[in-house]
Amino acid sequence: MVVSDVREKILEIIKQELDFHQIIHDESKLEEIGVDSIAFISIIIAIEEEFSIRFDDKQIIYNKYQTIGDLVVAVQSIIE
Amino acid sequence: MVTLARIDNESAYNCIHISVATIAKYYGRDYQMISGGNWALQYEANKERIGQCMDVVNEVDVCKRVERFHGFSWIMLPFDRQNIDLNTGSFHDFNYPFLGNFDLYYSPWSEVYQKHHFFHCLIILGYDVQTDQYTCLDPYLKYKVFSTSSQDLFSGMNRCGKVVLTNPIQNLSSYDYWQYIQDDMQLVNCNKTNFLNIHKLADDIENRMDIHCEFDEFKSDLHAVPILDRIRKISLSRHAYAWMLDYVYKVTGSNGLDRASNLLLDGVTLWKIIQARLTKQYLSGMDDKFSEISSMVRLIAGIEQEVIEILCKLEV
Repeated sequence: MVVSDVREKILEIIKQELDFHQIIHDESKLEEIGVDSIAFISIIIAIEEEFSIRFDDKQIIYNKYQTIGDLVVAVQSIIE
Repeated sequence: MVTLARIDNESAYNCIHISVATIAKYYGRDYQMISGGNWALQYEANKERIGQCMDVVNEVDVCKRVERFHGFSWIMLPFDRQNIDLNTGSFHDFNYPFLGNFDLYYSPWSEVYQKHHFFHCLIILGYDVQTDQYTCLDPYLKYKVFSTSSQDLFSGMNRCGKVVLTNPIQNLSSYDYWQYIQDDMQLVNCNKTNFLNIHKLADDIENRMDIHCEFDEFKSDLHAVPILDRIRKISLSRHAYAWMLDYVYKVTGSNGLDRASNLLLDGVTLWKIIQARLTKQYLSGMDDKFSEISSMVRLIAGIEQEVIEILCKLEV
């Protein structure tokens, strides 16, 4: 799967989980768009289902990620 | 309006310490010794929820420490509306920036307003008489700045505080720092309290963990789930202590402090993983292996005991 597809799906998941309707992109900071530690885990669960992947333990720590781009990179590395 | 810079390692501090440290930094003071004291895990295995059995209670007066090492202290006083000048909005005896302590249940500007009784500390930066708006800085929430009316600010405010500058003791030696660390280890390692209590927690997670008992009552706001809240508190106490050790290492160069700090940070990572795994299990509804989480807790016990042993054997 190409990076842009991964990104689009992740953006879609985040918007759905947060019920968020504004424009978000790679540089959007998770905290600033309302992703707290609980919402983050909901997003992780949705991503795992969408891509049939599993994050390892260290990848589910909320403050390891600053931006959506960080999350995209992590998902991409698992898929590869 | 005053502008306050962020402190280093801000994610390691609780709301009071990060607020105090931010003001101390504004006055040009270090603040890292604020994290000293007792970080032993307390465990009373007689409550229904595991989350309510565990806690960290630091009985050490860290005000005295920061006064000795950094030349400041802080005091918190009961909030009284009579101490406010109604014409200027200023608080008698409190110059900006000062500390405010709130019960968020009564604070309309908070997301947990009328949901949960969270006690929270932040910084009051100033007041605009024309608009009746106080500007506040919440260092614990990534230094969020917000404004709120006087009525809304006062409704949840229960204490005000200020940072008081004193004269730091000159010519502190490595021995001064060593002595305080030894005092802390006496508390943390008293009868191997921390090690044994973490093992009690591991046993309970393995033998009687019921995720629904821990979470269900707090479904509408999972941040209030006791086991998540307490793990966050436990993790913060270690995180802050690790950065204090790192600071002392940089000041004194004492061998072993860097290793102890790094090990303690490894433990913090594991505490955060446990918190995330419990949340994930509840939200996904999938079965997780509590034996794995329990093993992780036992691993933490070993890591933290190693930290204690390193610090107890520190040479001046």
